[in-house]
Amino acid sequence: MLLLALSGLGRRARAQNDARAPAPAVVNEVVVTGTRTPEQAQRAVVKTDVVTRAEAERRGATNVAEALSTQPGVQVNPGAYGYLGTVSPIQIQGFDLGRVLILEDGEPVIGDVGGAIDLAGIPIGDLSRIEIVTGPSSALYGSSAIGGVVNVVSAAPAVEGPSGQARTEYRSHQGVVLQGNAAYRKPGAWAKLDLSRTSQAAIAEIRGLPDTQIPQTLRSLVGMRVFAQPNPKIDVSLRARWLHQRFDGVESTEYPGLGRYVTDLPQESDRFALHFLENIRLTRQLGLRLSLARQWVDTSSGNFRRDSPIGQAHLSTQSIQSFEATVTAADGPRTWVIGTRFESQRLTQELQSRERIDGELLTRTTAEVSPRGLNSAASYAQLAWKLRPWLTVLPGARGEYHGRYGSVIAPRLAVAARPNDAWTARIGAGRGFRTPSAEELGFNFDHSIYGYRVRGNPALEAERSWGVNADVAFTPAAFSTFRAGGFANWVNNLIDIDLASGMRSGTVVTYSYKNFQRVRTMGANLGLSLQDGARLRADLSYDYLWTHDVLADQPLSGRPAHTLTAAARLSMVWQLELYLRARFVSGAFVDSMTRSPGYETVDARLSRRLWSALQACVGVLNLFDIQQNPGQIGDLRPPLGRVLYIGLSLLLPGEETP
Amino acid sequence: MSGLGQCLLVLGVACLALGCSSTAGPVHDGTRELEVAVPDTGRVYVQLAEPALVTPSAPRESNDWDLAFENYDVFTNSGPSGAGRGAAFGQLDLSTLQDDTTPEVPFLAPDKAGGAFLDWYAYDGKNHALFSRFHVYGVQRGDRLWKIQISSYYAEQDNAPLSGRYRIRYAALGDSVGATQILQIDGTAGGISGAVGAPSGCLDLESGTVSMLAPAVARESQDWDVCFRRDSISVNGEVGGPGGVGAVDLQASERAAETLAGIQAEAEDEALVRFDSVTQASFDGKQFRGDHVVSAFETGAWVVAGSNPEEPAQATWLVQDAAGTQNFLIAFSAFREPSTSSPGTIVMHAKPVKQ
Repeated sequence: MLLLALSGLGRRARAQNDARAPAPAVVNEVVVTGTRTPEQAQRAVVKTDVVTRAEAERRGATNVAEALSTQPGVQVNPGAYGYLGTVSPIQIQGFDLGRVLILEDGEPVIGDVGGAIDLAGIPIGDLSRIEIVTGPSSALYGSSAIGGVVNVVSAAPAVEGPSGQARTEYRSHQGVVLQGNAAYRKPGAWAKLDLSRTSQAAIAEIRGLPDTQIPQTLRSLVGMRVFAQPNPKIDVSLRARWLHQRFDGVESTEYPGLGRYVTDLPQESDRFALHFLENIRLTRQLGLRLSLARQWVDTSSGNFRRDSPIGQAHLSTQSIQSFEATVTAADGPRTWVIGTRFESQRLTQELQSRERIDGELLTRTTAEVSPRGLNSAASYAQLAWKLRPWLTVLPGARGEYHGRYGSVIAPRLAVAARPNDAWTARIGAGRGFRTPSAEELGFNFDHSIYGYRVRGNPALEAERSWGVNADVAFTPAAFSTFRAGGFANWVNNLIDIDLASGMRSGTVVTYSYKNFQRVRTMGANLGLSLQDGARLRADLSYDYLWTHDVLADQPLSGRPAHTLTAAARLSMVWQLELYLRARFVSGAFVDSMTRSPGYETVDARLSRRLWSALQACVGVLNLFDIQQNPGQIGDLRPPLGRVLYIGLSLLLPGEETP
Repeated sequence: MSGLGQCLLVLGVACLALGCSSTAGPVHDGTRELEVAVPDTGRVYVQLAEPALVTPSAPRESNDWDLAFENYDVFTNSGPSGAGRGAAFGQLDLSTLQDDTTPEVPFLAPDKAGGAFLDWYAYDGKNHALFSRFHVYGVQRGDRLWKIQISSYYAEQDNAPLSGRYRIRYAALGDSVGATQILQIDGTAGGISGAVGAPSGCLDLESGTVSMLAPAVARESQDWDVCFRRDSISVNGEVGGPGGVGAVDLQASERAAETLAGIQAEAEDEALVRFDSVTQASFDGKQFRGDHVVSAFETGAWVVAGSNPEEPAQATWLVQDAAGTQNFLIAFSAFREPSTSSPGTIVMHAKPVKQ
């Protein structure tokens, strides 16, 4: 289907060229995440940052983690599970690990590792844009939206007939990128197939030993989306995706009196997602959106002695199914969004170990999280009221009932003023919350071979926060925009593993979760965007972050205070486009004895259209080869050093958001 | 911390350094002082919330006490000492007593039974491997004496290292040294996921036989001298069993100066030389003990080693109360009228700290 679709595309390449015309100084995409209603990003009542697919590719990204790794106001932390170097959770306003909600086309992504959704596991092959809403958004989205929301929005085919897209790259460390999609669209219906496969060789930790700092990595995606509009008042769509990841790590240990033994650490996950959506336009002012979704993730994480039958594997199955109905009603200057959502999650995790007992090789299975169901029902309402042509107020609230923790209510009030075309000012305050996860409630995680166990705590309560966000944008002329903003968050009852109360028995320490942390975060940002027609675009952004762990009277670990990001895009002779991006990150507190050193990354990319539909690019990520020190706990520097890449992309007719 | 508080802390430290025996004033604004008179025999109990001596009717089942003192031993309400959820960690620097929040510690340790073999290994936390310190231990039963050295904790099975497979060497001591015996003993006790009551190897030194005994059976049996269970080694005396066996670590005084790197570097042949050099005379004057209850306040840790008269160490301990809900910082500023069997009246300081 992909080849068929690609065969007829050359004639539409001109349309693609038009679609790639330079954007104005202010990104003015249509966004939906901040208020659940389509708005232009510049005029949105709730500030929403956008990374388009084209921008992500300019950044040399193959997945969402890479696309956001140099995004102002965001930190993609490669160090949370640094010994494998695989999980890339996001940090917004100082919050991460379950406190930033990750959505795909509006539906929460499951399959976290210790609360971290691995953004590197979401390829950008079918991406339209990534929307980032900072600050508490639980009034609309419920649990986990304390630090913010990241919504990965997929693209629909923009032109009728066959269309498609392909991208291939070769990278350092034997990295191979193959991404493509093919679509067919006719009036009132379309179908699209998305394929993606990226791989990378293992990176050694210590020369001469088999240990890996980053495991051999393979990620693939098969996706299918169909859309139909049986009549002008109804449209339906179905999205199905299968994402597969495999990591092959190795570690070795010297045992006294025996010598060195090698252990293989294979890790594999499969995530399946099904999402059915129906939009019904009841009247010109009244719309109903029905969403039915199911997702399930199977994960295995092994620890096998090489050339031996001895080993163990953690196997987990996580699933979520949801139904959501949202009514959008426009009433003159007022737009109502009223919705209800029912959600049911289930998690099982077990440890399967193969060992010799009384001379016999036996496989034993132990439950690590008892089969545990978490059910919730929620209702939310939001009013966008245009009091004056230049002034909009947005009150809203969400109430959730959880079978295990009772009720939570999260209100929000946002105000946006646009007194003239040059000025935009926004302020919002709201509540965020996060309900305890199944692991935190019922974990029985035995990592005795690594010296610790973690036990769940069924008495946990939900975390709660208050947050305030404000920003102002000034566009004195079409070629420049200045931005400034700030935020503050107060979070109580944070759930964490209570390391101070670990109980030691022999060489094994047992830890448990508790609601005990209190955290404050504050920050400010300044930004400047300049545009000189189609020739030049430049962005400069400075972010300041202050965090405070109230109980320990110290900053939160791994939160750099200062980040400066600069980017420039220059169209040159011979249709060459040069893209430069630099990020300077200050040192960060890790613990009372350790700081993560400051660092800078510089990325460059040169691209040129070879003929009407084909583009070639060559680029470098992390030009100065700044690299994490293996074994240094909390080191926030990139795990990969310098990465060179060369690639081709077959440019297909432009795509737009559905 | 206020300037006054700092002054008081300095005064308190100076008092500790000079060994003054009068009642110390408060070391810090939030610290409460308590005098605990420890008799020559018997145990006294302390509650930390409102620091006071208490007399629980059934101490083993009661949550009414958090710390107990007997002779020069300190116990928390946990493990073999009590049914509570007490635990402790120490030593911490004395200045930690200024903190109002729980200091970062790697773990809290409940009380446990142990004896001379308690620290037979050094733990390599990076690779999660146990390295024998190659100390030589004396084990005494009646008038019989043996020396023992742990060579290894691992054996290969199915091309993989198996922990809990001890290799030891031992020899009888008397007017002459007996022949060195080398034994492999199964201390796996069913492995990491084995049952709590799974049997493990227990050695009768006289006959050289190894019996697989469950812990409950071993505690009632006289037919063994040393038991090996995962990373723990116990002897058949005091709380370890009815056999009246005592043991002593001949290199106990070297433990504090040992480093993991130094232990890892020690070769097997050096260990053998150390073992071979030990004779009956090496144990002259050494005190043999059976297994007893050990807390984070080990005798050698909370009492300054070699002090005469005995003095408390200038350090802070983190203690979790019997309910497992409140943490306290504890320090000791003086022993008044200490004897060989009791520290006399202990002047202790306690303050609750936030989690």
